[in-house]
Amino acid sequence: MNDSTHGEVVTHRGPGRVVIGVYAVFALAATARALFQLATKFSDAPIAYSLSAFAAVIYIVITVLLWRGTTSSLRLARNFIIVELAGVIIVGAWSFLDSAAFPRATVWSHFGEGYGFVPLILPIVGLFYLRRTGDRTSGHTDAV
Amino acid sequence: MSVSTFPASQLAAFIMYAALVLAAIFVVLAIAKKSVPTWAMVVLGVLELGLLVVAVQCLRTWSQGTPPAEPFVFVCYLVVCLLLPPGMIVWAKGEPGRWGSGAAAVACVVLAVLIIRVTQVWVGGIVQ
Repeated sequence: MNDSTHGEVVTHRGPGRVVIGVYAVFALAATARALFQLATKFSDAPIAYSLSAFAAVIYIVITVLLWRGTTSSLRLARNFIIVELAGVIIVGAWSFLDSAAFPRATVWSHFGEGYGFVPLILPIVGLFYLRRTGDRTSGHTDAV
Repeated sequence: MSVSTFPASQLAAFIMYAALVLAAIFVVLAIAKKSVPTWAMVVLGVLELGLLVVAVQCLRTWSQGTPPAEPFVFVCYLVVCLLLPPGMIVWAKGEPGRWGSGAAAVACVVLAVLIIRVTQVWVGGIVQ
């Protein structure tokens, strides 16, 4: 954490507050949901519940990386957000094509329908946000 | 499993609609590039008090022998509900300007959704 010493971490300000806030909510919601599902009824829907846990980890990692806000962590965050977007699209499509594999919902099934499709919109917003933020921070050196 | 109605359902519904109205106001404030105003903090404080009343009612009903359908999930949602308004005040105050209001708008929508979920997991039957 010895970088970002010059001024404030850019992701803590402006639109970053909203983006991090939404990611934090999903990290919390998905983690609680996954822990509960895995602990109590994993055998009901192993695929769906494993994917819930996967989604939870992805959301936690992205939240932490965005919060750190260094050039390298934001670059890493971008990769994870691409994984997130791919996850939503693949799981979303899979849950429609093979509903037998999903007797229970995950965060990402039906493209995040149970969460108002926010899981589908969030990674797109995240990528746009990082593109803009990247333009602003590209002149800075990265100490990590 | 017996289905029980949600305790304090009218108050909970009122808080849910209030949170949605507040969310709309915060969106307008964000568009107008305004910070979260002090009166909105007061409203959030009042909503928090209302949520505490709902929580106490629920726990009383529970202690009298009518548990929620999904006790663990119910407690999780309830705790997050109670933490949201104060958290929102801190989070939004830390960011003056439109994005503080934007963050508050998101949090209000989350609060409304959580209240709906709290009532759902009390009654049961819809839990995934």
